[in-house]
Amino acid sequence: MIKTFRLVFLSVLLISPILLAAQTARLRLGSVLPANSLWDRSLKEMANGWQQATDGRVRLQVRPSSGDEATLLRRMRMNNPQVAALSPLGLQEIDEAFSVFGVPFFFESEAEAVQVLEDLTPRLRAVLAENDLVLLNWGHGGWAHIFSDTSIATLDDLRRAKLFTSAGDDGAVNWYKENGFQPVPLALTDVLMGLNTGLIDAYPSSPYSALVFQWYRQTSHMLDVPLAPLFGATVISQRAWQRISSADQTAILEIAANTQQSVFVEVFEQDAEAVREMQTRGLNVTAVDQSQVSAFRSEAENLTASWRGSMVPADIYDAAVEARNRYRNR
Amino acid sequence: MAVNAVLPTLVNPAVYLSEEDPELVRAALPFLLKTIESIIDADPEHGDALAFANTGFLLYATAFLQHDAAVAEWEDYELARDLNNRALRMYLRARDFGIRAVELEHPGMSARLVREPSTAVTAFEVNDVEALYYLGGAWMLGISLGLDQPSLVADLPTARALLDRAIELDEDYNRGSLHAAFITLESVGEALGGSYVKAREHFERAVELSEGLDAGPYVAMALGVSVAEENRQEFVDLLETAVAIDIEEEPSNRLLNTLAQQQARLLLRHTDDLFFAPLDEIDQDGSEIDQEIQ
Repeated sequence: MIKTFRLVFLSVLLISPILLAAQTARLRLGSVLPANSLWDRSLKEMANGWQQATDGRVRLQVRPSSGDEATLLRRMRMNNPQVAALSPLGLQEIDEAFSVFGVPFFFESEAEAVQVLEDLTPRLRAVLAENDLVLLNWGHGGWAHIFSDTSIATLDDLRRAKLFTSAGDDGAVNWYKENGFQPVPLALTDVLMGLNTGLIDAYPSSPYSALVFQWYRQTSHMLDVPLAPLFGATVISQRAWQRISSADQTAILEIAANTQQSVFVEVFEQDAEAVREMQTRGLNVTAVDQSQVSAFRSEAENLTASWRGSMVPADIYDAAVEARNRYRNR
Repeated sequence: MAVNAVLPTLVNPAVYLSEEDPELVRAALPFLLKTIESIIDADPEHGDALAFANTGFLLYATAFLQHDAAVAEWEDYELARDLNNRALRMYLRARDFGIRAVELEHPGMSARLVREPSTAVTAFEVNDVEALYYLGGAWMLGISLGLDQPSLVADLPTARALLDRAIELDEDYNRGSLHAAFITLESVGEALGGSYVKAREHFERAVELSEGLDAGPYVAMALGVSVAEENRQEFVDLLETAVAIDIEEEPSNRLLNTLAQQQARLLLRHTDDLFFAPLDEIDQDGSEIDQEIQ
């Protein structure tokens, strides 16, 4: 019999810091993203690119899994860290303007959503600047879909579900209630418990998240109508940014743009693969025909119009509608 | 027949694990692993060879490739990335040998493990614990390095079920090795089903069972829990304890204790880099950033 030996898990699952050791300019990036994920890898590639392009003058330590985003933002205001990769929820903590991308069923396609994102970027850049932040690039977490334990094909089906919503987002909870839905606000960490105990039976999630968190095992249906894109952003504090030379700023932004471009492609491939993997393990994708989709979107559009001025600033909402319609009528 | 006679001598892990010089093992292990693969090539159902290939590739990937990547990460991103990629491939190779070994005793098990992991693992008994430990360990470590690959991530419940069954069957296996592994498993955060409270419980038990002579649990606890909880003092205390362990008190674990102590020293040197300044102590005037950005 082969004798045993003791295995040491020398590197932990979610802690894998990169330090590109500093001689001069040293920046730290905090994020809630798990180590060795697509996003973590992309950020580390970006950090490596910055170091090379600036001959080591700008070095970035990427620290994944840096706690919750509310605390991360508090730290950022004090320049520790100076850089953050924020999720949609983190961006919404900064300003309600970013909620525009979370309006349910507002966008029909990735191309449409990206066009609106580009059109709104100057306004959103200004919003960040008001908060002493500089936009480095946009992030992408895929598209949220509705996962549920019974098939959902209409908004009435969705109204019958006990739907997870993020704790603390009272505006969204009230909106759901006013429109006949059954929202159940929970912390992200409680979703699995909520599914196991029957507290919730439906939730919005990207396919990848449903897979990695194992939520799909309690909810065997996914509506094949995307709910909303999950746009995040990488930002740097004004104070740190101003201390970087203009030439290095240009180099940094160029590399950040390249990172954005590759993430926007890869996240789709990742979600498609996640759906395939979940389907082999029992997930049913509920397809709806075009007429159903149109009816779905039409009703959703009527319901979500009330987000204007309540959960999304009116000017941002209007600008998004205008950009979206311009794209549709191009 | 000749192979069967010589194999137990050829692949005696105690010789490797008690080695005081990691570089000697680093140089010797690849030859042994390729020899084992040759044996398997000639006899694909050689159970002992498959089991050793599982443990041997897992050891090489953990102790040398991923360990080296952890060291390189502080200075050389591209080297660290390449080493982690190699480690990932080797974990999967270890996993595949482990699955083949399990299939010999439990035909059809690999498919059941993927389909219904929590039910499938109930077929394993206490004499399977070692196989569960190494198969589950290789699988889990492969997933941890490949979180950008949904096809790997999808098997998370399988890897977890293997290790859950192992600790259920033999809680004090190998003087706390399973508890040491569970420190890491429970450190993944609550959204992923982990629990820092449980990680602490496993740490206490791992230290108790190893009589404080295994540096691994201290390093796992410091990296997995102390960093996540921003507990700098605990981080330092744990790593200093790991470094202070007298390796000669546990000669059978010299190799991994030596490597764990190397990692502990490295992490201690980078303590400032792993922790944010406490919120109430950060210089509001930004003098810190002024020092860093010149």
